[in-house]
Amino acid sequence: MSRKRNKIGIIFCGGSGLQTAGGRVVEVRKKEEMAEWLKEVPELGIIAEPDPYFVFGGDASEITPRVWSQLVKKISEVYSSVDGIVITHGLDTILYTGAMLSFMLQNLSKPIVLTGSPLFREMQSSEELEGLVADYRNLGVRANLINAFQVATMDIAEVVIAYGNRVLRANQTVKSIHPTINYFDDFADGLLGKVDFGIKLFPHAAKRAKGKLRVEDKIGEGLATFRIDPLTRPESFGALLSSGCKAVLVRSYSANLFPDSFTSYLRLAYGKGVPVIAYNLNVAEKTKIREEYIVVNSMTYEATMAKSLWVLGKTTKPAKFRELLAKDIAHELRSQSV
Amino acid sequence: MKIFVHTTFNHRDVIRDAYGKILDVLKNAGVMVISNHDEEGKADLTRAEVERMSDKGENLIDKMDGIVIDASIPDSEVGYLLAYAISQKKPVLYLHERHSGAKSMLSYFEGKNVPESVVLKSYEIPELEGIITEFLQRTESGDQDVPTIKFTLRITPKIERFLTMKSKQSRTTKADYLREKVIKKFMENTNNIDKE
Repeated sequence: MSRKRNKIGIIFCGGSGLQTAGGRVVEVRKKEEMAEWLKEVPELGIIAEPDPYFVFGGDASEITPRVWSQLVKKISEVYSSVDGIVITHGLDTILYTGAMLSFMLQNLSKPIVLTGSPLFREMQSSEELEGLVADYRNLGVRANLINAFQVATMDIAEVVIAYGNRVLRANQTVKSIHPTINYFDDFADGLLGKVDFGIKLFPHAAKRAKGKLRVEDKIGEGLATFRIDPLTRPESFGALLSSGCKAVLVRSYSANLFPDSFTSYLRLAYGKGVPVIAYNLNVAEKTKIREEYIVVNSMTYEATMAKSLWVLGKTTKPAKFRELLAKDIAHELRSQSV
Repeated sequence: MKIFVHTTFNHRDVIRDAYGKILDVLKNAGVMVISNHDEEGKADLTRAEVERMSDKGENLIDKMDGIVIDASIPDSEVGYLLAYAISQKKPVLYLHERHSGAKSMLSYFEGKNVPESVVLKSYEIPELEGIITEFLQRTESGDQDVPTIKFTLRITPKIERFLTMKSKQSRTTKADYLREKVIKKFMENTNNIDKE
């Protein structure tokens, strides 16, 4: 009995460094380098037929909303012709891109799997490579790729990150602080599967289903970010508000969210119709509801930033902004807020 | 030595019998066996134990010295295991029962070089003992050539400076320098034991 061979789209968006048998690192920084890269991993073809596309070849720090738009455009172009999609991506910003894709690509019927590599071409010393791989607690970049490819053939329809021995919901993934092989950890319900001698997906992962992809690709502009710690001066916040931003995402480490010295500036933002998002996972929302700001305590920081941009693409009206930010769009909210 | 055995059963008893034979041969050779069919109660690690190891963040497949795949009944995990093992250069014994009619996943490599780490064999049950024994010998001898075990070695700053100097002098990495010293010591010990 012959089975239909799966075809998996592989989209290069940085993070594609692979160490060759000779100790060299090959990566895809431009379209012409895809063929050589694929020759280095012929084993991908055992799992499925790779269908390569190029979007971006720069460093993870160069990822911008423009790259997200290009990525979504490419995904929507190839979506119907493949069984799943793997995206290579630099690890430093993969959480932002993963979260953004989960909002921009809705009603998914097949998996979008991100994975990546910390290696780049200029690394020639094996000591440097060994050190970096150790820092990233990497199973081996090839292992991540193989895992990602297999996940892309499986019964799951979400934007996920495959790295280490875990499959994680992209908008519920955080960088790990634990010294295990996993560079990323799950937030709330984010662990969707595990790798041991195969890949096992958990029942709460959304399954493949028939349906038409809905692309919501408008990304808002003018989101500013701000951080409150004991050294932060309220005047800095005031200056930010005067800069013409359309919304501000504030990361606060205080259970009180804002010191009293911020009150007049919060009133100013409210008066100007600039939504202020107060991010702190440890704050009990019900005790902190204020008209001057929107408390977020149920998403990762990266998901909050991506969602704020996505919401800004739809509205700048504070009431609607607040409503959309609170709504669960792509399983990004943890089920129980503190 | 630790070997992972993957197989898929169907109505044909021959595949289940082959599985039993594979495990018997491996265990008689002193190999620790882990299998995707722990419900048979024949493997050394149960599924629950494997889950516990995985929860600790251990990458289990990388801890295996080799993989035996009976692909007589193809399933999607066979391709994954094979691809993963090839990517990590793990020795693989890829079996299919001679009358199963299964098309080998390795057909992908037709016209290309099948990786050296993969042994492809069709079998009838009486042949399994010889096939597996040969695979184990090959895997064991391969161990001497390819360093696969990693561990953390803490050293003092003084030793670190010394190693840096030596690695520069010998134009090798610190790891290679140390490995060469250990291999040299190992060979001396082995020769002395042989003489005794």
